[in-house]
Amino acid sequence: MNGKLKSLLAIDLLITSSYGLILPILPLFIIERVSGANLMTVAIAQSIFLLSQAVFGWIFSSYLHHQETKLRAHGGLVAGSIIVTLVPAVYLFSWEMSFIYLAQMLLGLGLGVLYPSWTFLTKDSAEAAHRPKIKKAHGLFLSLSMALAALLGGYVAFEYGYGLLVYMMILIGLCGTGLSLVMWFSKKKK
Amino acid sequence: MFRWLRALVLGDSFYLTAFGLLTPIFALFLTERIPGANILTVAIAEAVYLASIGVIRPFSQLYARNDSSGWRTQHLLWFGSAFVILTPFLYLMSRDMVDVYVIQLLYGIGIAFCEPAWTRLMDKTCAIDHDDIFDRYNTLSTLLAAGLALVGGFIADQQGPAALLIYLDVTTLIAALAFVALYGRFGLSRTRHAPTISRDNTVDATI
Repeated sequence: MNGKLKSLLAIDLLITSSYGLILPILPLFIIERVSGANLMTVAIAQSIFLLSQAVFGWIFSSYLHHQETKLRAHGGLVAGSIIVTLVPAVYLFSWEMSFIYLAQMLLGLGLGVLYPSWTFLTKDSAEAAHRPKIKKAHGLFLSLSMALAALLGGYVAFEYGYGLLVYMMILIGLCGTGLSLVMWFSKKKK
Repeated sequence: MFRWLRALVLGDSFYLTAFGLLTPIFALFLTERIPGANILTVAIAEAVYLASIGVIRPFSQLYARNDSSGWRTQHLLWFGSAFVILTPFLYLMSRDMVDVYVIQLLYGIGIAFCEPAWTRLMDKTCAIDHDDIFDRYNTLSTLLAAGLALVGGFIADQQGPAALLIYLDVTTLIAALAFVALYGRFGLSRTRHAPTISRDNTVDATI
């Protein structure tokens, strides 16, 4: 696995685990902090997220594959990771349900932009013979890191409250964003 | 013909995993039904599920490797589907957080067992030449998951958690049975060699 693939894998792990910190306990977070939250509204929020991910993913994927340039792919990676990093701040400052809906829509936008660019870049950097191995390794690392993130997120939220959790999420997301920026502007070492 | 089949397979598999991973009401329903459920224990339950998937997955892939006729994968699929179908029923009977951990473990093992069958069926139903096709069919399955999450939340709000579990029972049962049937029809090769997938998106007639 060359360096580019390693950094792509690291970016995916960082971004997904930054969101995975709060993912299992998001409904509890919403119910505690936001007025007007019950089972139905949380389900609506989740559906908004999935819907917006589907729509924006479709749009951006068509845009990306219309002309497959590096600019579009890397730009999508960076833009997606910035959006996913900034959404937890919206969570922190929301006191009403409509903010949560907005946050979920933005999150869907970010992830919808991120995933097609990531798959495109990964397929680009890997030869066809290595792809199943890479896919398996990636799946393994992803599940384990998400499990770790869920555990860590629950512990931090339980002991120290949600504020610290959101700061952690933003920090990890920033690491992922930084890495994707570095990837964009790094030249190949001969 | 294989396009809708692939969308169906994706939607089915996505629904089966979406129930465990993305159901937003999972945490809420745990805190309502089970004493001793707080943020930490809900997060531990989720972590148990993800960890069991991650650990069991390499083993199930190892088992299903070099499986040219597809029989071993099918047996794995039967076991996995049985675990997955059992999960909502077990939730109805669970009383304690430890029960929930065990159920999540079982569910993770079930999903990990089903995965080789999914990849095999996906590989057989069409040739993935373009990445954008995969993204588009992924959106179809995401839309399905969104609709189901909405319906699930509606049921939970109106009727309470027990009704939600029965809804999940029924849909998981239908999804898993549909998948087993699909795999039985399309996933096995009747001949000894692996089928070839030609460039014009048709599969070799030996299936």
